[in-house]
Amino acid sequence: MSAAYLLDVGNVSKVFRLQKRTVRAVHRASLRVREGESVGIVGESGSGKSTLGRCAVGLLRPDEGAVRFLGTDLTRLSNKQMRAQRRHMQVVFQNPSTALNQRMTVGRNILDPLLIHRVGTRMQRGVRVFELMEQVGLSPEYANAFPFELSGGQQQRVMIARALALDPKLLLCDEVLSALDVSVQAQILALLLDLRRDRGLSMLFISHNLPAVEVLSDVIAVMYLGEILEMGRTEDLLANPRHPYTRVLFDSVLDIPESKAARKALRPLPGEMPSPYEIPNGCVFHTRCPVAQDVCRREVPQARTLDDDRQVACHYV
Amino acid sequence: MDILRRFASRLAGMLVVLTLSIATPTVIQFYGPGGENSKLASQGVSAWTRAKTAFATVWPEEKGILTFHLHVSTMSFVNDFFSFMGLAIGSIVIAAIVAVPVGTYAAIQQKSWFRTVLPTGFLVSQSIPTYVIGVILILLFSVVWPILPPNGWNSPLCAVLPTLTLAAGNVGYMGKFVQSAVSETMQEGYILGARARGVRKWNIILKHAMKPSILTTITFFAPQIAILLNNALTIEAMFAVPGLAKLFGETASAQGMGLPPGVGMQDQYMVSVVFFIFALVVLVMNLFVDILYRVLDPRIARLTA
Repeated sequence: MSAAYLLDVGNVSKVFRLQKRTVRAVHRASLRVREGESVGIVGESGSGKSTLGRCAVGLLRPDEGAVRFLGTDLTRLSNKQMRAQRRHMQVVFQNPSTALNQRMTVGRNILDPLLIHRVGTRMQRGVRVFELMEQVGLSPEYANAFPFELSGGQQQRVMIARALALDPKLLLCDEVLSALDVSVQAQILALLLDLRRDRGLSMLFISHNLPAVEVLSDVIAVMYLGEILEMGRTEDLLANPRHPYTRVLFDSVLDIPESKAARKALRPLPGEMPSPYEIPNGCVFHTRCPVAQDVCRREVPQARTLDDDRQVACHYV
Repeated sequence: MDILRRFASRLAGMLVVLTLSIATPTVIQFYGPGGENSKLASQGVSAWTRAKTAFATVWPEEKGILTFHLHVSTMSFVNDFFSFMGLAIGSIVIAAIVAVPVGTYAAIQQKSWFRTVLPTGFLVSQSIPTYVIGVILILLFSVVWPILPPNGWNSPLCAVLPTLTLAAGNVGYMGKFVQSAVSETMQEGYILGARARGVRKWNIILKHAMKPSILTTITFFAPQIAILLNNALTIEAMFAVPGLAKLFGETASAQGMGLPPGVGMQDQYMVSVVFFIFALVVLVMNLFVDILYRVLDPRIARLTA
């Protein structure tokens, strides 16, 4: 637990109660982000990626575990202290058309965080808004436009500018690409890469778009039914996925080969993810795992750290 | 330019409705059974013949019935109009003052007992007929604890009970509406976005959640003044408020009673005029709401300008 970690999420669990049923959204997930590092979280829909991300930036209070941001445990902060911390961690949401206040102009939307945290003088704030717009590649004439007059990609740029306004140390990108067209996805991805390079921003990048996560992340965590099954440095993980789920997940990605002959068979993941209302006993993945044995149905595999900085939760690795 | 065209077409539509609002009572009163031009008129039992006889007692027939209104003071009519509008608007304002905070609180409140008790309260307020509420209020505040006059219209205190009565029924409707509007807005992505950048809880509720919710509430309720008209008919009569609704009720029901105008108010033209004014009030409220919407929600203005 050295101070080298910007964010240290330790054994975080979150359960949602919906009337009489409970949903185990995140179960004992641990994650660390170093300064300047980008951590990607991948998994299918409903695997708890967003919940974990929201716990990590204090938007949700986990039921168990600690979230340490620069040494302070966010889970123990009062609302007031938490608000003060928020300027260091900003969020870019999935759908810009709902996450931006549509009644405010673009400029006002970007200005809002500066007003809330009382940054600078009026003049300085105005200058800052235009600086930010330039940084994210928005023409200054859009400052007086309303978000709904912009395209999806431009709106996403507004949201990124708004998130950057306070010079955060950590940026949570929650499915920032999924609401955009493919060509626009590439532009936003390039923008995020630039920002990371120029500002040394730390990121939590949540996505089910594997290639995007590969490009943007130093470390990838693979989630399934609320648990992190495998985590490791991007190159290592891609080269040598250890957990059976990671392997089938990577196999199910559509990639376009150079020639027809090189095309490998696309292997979709068999079956469906079990309902989060009824978590299987033992290993959460055993119902779909190609190598599952009796022990997997009985015992929960503990996450182990392997030699190459890899963490895997599987009996057979 | 486009906005002017929209406005013009809107006004044209209003004119059509207003014309209809004159035509409807006229046709019903003059061509319906018992009217001057209906077949029954010849049998000598029509309301119109009685009306004419009644008119003759206060206005010489050779001067023509229509000129009668040029010679009556318009002040009493104007007073009636303002009494009515005062009650109507006052009751909406009071209902809003109660319903908006309570509905908002209900929407953001997590405690389960509150979530059960409050909707029940709203339901009770909605389902008790207005005149029953009126009777209960009179009993409470004029009989059991006599601090307010039960009827009349000679001091500002007289307005309290009828306004409260009219407001009581609306609190339920409005409160429920505000509750659902706010809880819906609180689910919006930008609310989470506001939390993420550290906006205070109350600022989120007041600035980001309540503003759009109140907008939807206004758009829904300003035209509801039509329903209020309905309730005002009974309430003005019950509290003896000399308002437009009471005037309408009395003139309309005095038809065929053979009473002279101005006393028991047997006056078909008066019915038509009051009907017209009611229509005008509803139309103006609608127009006002549409203008307000454009002012408050930039999306509408930009997309349709």
